[in-house]
Amino acid sequence: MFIDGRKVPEGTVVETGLAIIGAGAAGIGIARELAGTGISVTLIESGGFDFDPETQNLYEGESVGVDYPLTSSRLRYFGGSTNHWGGWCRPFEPIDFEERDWVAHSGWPITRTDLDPFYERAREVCEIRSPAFDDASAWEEGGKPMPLAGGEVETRFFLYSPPTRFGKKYRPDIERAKNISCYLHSNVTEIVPSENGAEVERLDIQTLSGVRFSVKPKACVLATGGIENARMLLLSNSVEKAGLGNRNGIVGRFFMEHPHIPSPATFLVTDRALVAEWYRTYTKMKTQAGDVVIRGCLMFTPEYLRREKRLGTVVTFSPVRPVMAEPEALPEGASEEERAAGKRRAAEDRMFRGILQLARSTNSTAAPSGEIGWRLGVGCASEQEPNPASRVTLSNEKDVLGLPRTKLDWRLKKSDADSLRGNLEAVARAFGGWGEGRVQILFPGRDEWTEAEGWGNHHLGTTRMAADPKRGVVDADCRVHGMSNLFVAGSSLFPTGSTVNPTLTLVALALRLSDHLKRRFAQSAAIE
Amino acid sequence: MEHKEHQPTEHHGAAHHEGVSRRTLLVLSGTAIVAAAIPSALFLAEPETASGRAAGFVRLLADPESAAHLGEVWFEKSAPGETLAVYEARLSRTLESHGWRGDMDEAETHRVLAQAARADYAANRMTAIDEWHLSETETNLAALAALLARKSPAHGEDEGHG
Repeated sequence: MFIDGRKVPEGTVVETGLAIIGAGAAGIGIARELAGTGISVTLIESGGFDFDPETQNLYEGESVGVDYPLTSSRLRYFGGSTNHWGGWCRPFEPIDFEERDWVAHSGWPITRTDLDPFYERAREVCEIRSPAFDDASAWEEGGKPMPLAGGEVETRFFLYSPPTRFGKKYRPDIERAKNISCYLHSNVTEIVPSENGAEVERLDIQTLSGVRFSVKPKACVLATGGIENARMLLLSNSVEKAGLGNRNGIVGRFFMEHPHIPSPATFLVTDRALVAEWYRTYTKMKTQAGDVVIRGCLMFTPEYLRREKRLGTVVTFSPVRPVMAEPEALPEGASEEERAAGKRRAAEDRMFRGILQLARSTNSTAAPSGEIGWRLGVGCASEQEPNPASRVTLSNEKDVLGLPRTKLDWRLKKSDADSLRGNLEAVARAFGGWGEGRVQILFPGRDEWTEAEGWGNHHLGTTRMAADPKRGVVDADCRVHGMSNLFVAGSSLFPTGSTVNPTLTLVALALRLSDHLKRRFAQSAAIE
Repeated sequence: MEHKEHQPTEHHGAAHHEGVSRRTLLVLSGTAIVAAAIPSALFLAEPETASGRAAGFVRLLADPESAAHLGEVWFEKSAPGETLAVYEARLSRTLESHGWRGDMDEAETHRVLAQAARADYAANRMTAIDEWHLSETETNLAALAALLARKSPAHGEDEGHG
């Protein structure tokens, strides 16, 4: 059932079993899991079914570190940021969950094995018809992985969700579920705890039209996204002055992204046929279960990451154009602009010819004429080290509800850049050792990293998970340390960010939390 | 952990190709001359000068002109030494360490060259030419191609300069 919060009588108090704040991938994912159970669920969403500029404006804030688009990188309406999701899915690597002695503040309180069954369920939720994230033999029809040398770099696969727009796809499930009420246009302004701060007492809600009401839950899940989760805890400061779950000052810290570098390198290969079709983005493959859309990419082996003490990187590439043995002549009557462009390309091609012919000289056969190779365009996304100084706090500016806006101070470190550069050098070794490719590294070494070339709209780490309350905001069950009935869902839980897109993992964690909540409600019902 | 077991590459800023000392140069030149004096099927036709082997090596290239361009770009951007005998000696030593002998034919020499290049990549012995990461063996070959091209009649120069 959907309820327009603007039409709720002023001062209404809604009593419920579980309140879920935020109807994005995590919030809807949990609500669906609880549909048809005996638990009464209240799902609270700031927006309606469609984009609304006034509601979206609540995301405005200050970016005071590495410049970051607080508003355009997320969406505030039913379905959340899945409404502009690209659908890239891949589980985190087992090493991502480990405490790595070369990565400060690393280590999850759960392992990849703990999450594996939930990845399987998350794959279904995200409508991915194959589990072959690492099995190249499943995609043989599209070609074979490049046999790169050295055991440092290998091909792995992203599988794409259609992408599942959670708001559209799962709206009927929410509508039908008799135990779920979803309040739209309803902004939680504070999670109000009991006097001792140990449990959630009520949620104060306000609409943009000025209606105020509240929800009194037995348990509450905060699922408003990787930035807003931290803001919501910090805003909830009427009892706990530093905000909920923030007795150790960790809420909002460790904000991470995946720095994206649009052109970190150029690859040359001696033969287009060596580049499997599925290295291109959104390659459709047929399987017995139906079409699956995949992309091959390069990632780094755990042995390499451990030995070289590196963070992860995903490298993607696709063919751009052939390189010919002979210089291309400019067409007759070319304009001055065309001649200038032709000159630049001729200089570039001269280098390409030199590199490719050198590669052919030391490896494959010489090609005195015609096509001697292909230029591949390259992109990459990289892991950043958790950094307590990279953080979300509250701004002095206020939104239309009178609440302090977000202040984001995103920080990147020199060591993040050094790691990425080192990984690109490993790719150069892998291509050169293979023999049929060579690599030009365009990502420069740098003393500091104060401007991002790009990002993934991935907001990670601000309510990190840790067994020790001094190291994290929530425990392994996603429960806020020091509070009995407040839980967090979403990518803000990630203690480290891995290097792949977060949605599949945050959905898996949400499903795991759902199971925990079912058990918890079953136990309390048994006691009652 | 870096690849510390190997010499730093030009790319990492420790330009070990640069500033070759006079003593090293003498030793290397001597090595090259001795090496050039060994009878060989491939190189017998060349005069017994420091550049005798160099011409044989450069003949292994699919496109010596484009390799020479790479060598010139490297000289211009990284300013390493430009003495032909040094590169010739370096390349000879590298290939010899992979089993090359002067009497090997071109196909065998090609095989050794490929092996040497692969070994360089495996051991992180890379040099950056305009940020293209090439094996040191390949870079030495490109340098030789550039220096030999300078000596060609069309180029109008007679000798490289250190």
